[in-house]
Amino acid sequence: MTPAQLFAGVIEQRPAAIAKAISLAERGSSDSEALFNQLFGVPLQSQVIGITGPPGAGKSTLVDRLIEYARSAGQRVAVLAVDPSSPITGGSILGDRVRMQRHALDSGVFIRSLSNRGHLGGLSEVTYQCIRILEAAKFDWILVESIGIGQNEIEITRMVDTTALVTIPGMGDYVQAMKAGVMEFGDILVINKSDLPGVGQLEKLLLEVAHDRAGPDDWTPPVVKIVASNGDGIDMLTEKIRAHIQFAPEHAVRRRYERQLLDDMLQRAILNRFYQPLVRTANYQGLTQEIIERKRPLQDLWTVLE
Amino acid sequence: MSPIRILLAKMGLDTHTIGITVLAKGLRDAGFEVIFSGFKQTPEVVVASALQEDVDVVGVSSLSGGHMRYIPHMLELMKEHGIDDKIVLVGGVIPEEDIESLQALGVDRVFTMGSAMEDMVRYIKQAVAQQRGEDSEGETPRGEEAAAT
Repeated sequence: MTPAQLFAGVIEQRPAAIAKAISLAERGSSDSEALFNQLFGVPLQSQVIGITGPPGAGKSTLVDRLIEYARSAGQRVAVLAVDPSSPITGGSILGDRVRMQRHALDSGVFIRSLSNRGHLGGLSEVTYQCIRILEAAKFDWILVESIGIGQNEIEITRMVDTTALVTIPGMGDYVQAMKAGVMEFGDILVINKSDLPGVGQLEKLLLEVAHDRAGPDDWTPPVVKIVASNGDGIDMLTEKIRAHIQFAPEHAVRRRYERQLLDDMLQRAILNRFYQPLVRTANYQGLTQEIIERKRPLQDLWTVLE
Repeated sequence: MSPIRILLAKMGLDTHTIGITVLAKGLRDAGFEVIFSGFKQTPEVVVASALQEDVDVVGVSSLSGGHMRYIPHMLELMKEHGIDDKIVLVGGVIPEEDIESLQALGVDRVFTMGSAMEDMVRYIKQAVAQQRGEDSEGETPRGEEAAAT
């Protein structure tokens, strides 16, 4: 299918077209660029919610609960679940889907597993394109589950409207260590498995973090205790998500991200169009050689710009 | 060549999970993206997952005799959804006479007990390359072969 046909299929909300469009974005080619050009014209119309936290915190189980909640409110939900790839073989086991399979036959739900394909920062670099594909298909909520993160993989927080950071009791020291990293970014601090011992200590720590955060943006991250496996606290969490959506100006974070994205695209284009041809010229090669051999002064480098 | 994507699933009440788990790790180590969809699935769920995940290959493991009940139905659903172009592999305990029936219905290959990981990896790489119109080293074939795709 051509990018234009795929785009039309996405707009018509056809699952097969959405699936193929995501694969195209993942491959990265002139076709995926053509598709992204069309996608970019679609207004920001979905609530994009990032779910992040250390491995084993229960992110996938929480996503399953959020799907359940959104569906009961009559909203269409898409999920992008990112898992890591092996730095050695490039292979990966994408297992987040296992926790969400009960929604597989719901036509209002679309779930896609992504490998980060070696990209650092916890999210694959094509994730934003995938978000845009799902947004063009008019899903009300797009849940982006990051890979299990360590201390400062914050990329996810830049491309979503609301970030829920999920932690669990028994990681006290770990949370301490995270305070200066990802903790500075979660809009909602979630304590999952809050029926386990140690929850009081963790809550105290997170409230401290939240207190420190109450600053220029006037949003004090709420601390929410849940048990994703049985659904306890999900109502409170979704209420806080709604509150944050109400609070944050329309997609402000994503607008900032898009501006950065355009800058990056322009920078890449300038490199390809001007820098690459320039450095390949005999004139430039000769000039730099002479400068290295001290036959000409360093400032002569700038003559190439004339 | 972008990584090969394969969905692994078990259907019905078959609880023999070691084979598929070992396979998942082996395929990951071969550089594949393995989407693990879980156990005790229905053909409907497997097909919906394969469609959303846009996999190259659907791999079904069956060790307790349910294969003739679930797999033909799964193949039918794949046709209905227009994804019968995907490569379908079956592994596990499959009697000789069923292998022919399954392959006649559209299963590409059956790997029975004792199959070697490297044979499966090689087969999948070749089959996917053929499907995508690349040679199995990841280069797009030149000339007639490319024109044929």
